[in-house]
Amino acid sequence: MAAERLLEVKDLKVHFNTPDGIVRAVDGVSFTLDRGETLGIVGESGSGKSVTCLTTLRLINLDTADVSGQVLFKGRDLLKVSKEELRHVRGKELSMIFQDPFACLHPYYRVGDQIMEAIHAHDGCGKNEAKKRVIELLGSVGIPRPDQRFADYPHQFSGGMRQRAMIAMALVHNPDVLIADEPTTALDVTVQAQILDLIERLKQDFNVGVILITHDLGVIADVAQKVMVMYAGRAIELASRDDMFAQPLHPYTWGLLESIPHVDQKGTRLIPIQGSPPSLIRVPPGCPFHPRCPHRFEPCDKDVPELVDRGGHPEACHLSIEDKRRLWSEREQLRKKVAS
Amino acid sequence: MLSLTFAAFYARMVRGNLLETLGEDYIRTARAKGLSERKVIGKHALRSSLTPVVTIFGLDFSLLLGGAILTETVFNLPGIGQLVVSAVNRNDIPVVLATTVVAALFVTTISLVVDIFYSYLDPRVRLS
Repeated sequence: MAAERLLEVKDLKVHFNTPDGIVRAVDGVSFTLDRGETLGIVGESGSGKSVTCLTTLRLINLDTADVSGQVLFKGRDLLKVSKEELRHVRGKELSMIFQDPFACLHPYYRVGDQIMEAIHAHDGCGKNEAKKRVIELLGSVGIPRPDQRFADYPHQFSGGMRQRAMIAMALVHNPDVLIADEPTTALDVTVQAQILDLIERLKQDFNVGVILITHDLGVIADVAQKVMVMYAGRAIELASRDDMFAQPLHPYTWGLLESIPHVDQKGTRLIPIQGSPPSLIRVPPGCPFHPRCPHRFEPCDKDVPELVDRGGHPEACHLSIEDKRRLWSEREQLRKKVAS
Repeated sequence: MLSLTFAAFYARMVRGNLLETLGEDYIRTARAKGLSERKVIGKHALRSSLTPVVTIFGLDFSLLLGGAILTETVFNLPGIGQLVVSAVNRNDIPVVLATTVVAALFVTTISLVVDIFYSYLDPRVRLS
């Protein structure tokens, strides 16, 4: 049985006009999300992950940005619906958790009131009932003594608790899609694991579709079913999690995988990707990754590689699939040799 | 009357602060909750942009009092400013002293009120 398709993003482009030139923050990204599925989006800083997700909720300023493409949420194009209709989707059917819980709660209002406000945005229930629901929610996201914590201000919460409060806020209306934009980057590792467990549990309990943005491949390996790798505003590889880790096809993904430390490679150095991500104003011609790619050849600096489906595993690179298999296994062997 | 000259300045300041606050992350959170634009601006953005205004108002108040001396004399309006000027002209030391104390009291009271109001606006400021 095919799961319900919740979100379909088609050829999304977000360009910002700045005095220095056009910033191509997102340049033709397409993906889908089904109910009960977790899509992980990975990439370096500035690869367009966050802008992609903010655009799906139309949270970027459309006056300064050039947006094209479609964001189909249950069949409706969120880029075209009226403001009022959009308001009914936000927070109710599609919620978002942001990166920095320290900046995302209003410092002047009580945490409980802020969550209550999210309830009242879409539901005219009474104050007492809303309060009861907030306390219940705070408890279910693992905040101890939620009835007392209800009246606290954000500055009295720790980072992990604020992120929990944000998650509670995102869940008040049992949304269909939850977008988590690096929910754990601002938190320390133990809290990070708890937050991810929480998201995973909630995904199962409420059967939502989750988009998880992160630059931590370990997180992806833990919770995602599908992975999209982004580079310079483009999706360069899209695969199931198992394919991504067992048989990655794009040299950039290889670089990402090789730069994770492994316990069994004690004493060896990590292999970083050379160079740094390109400026999104002057994206290199051809494949945006070619200046940093160790396997570049003729067409790489001329033609932009299209996203080609390779057996349910689309990726954008000029190398042939045979070359990729060979190169990846060579790299794997090299790593094993270094490790032993 | 006097405050009118300040009003334009305050309006500009609120506008500037408001524009700055609208870029904050918690405004984005408020929008993502599905709040109407009126609520986002009227409740979330306005409140944080008012804090600096309150601070400046406390400081401006003493200026306003000082300005009163000039305006009240020039336009021949009865008030504390004119009282001071006439007392100085008459060499009436006790009245000068009294008005000074009253004015000082005013200024300190206002700054106290501002401080209390400030802690009400921003719960992170503790009264202790």
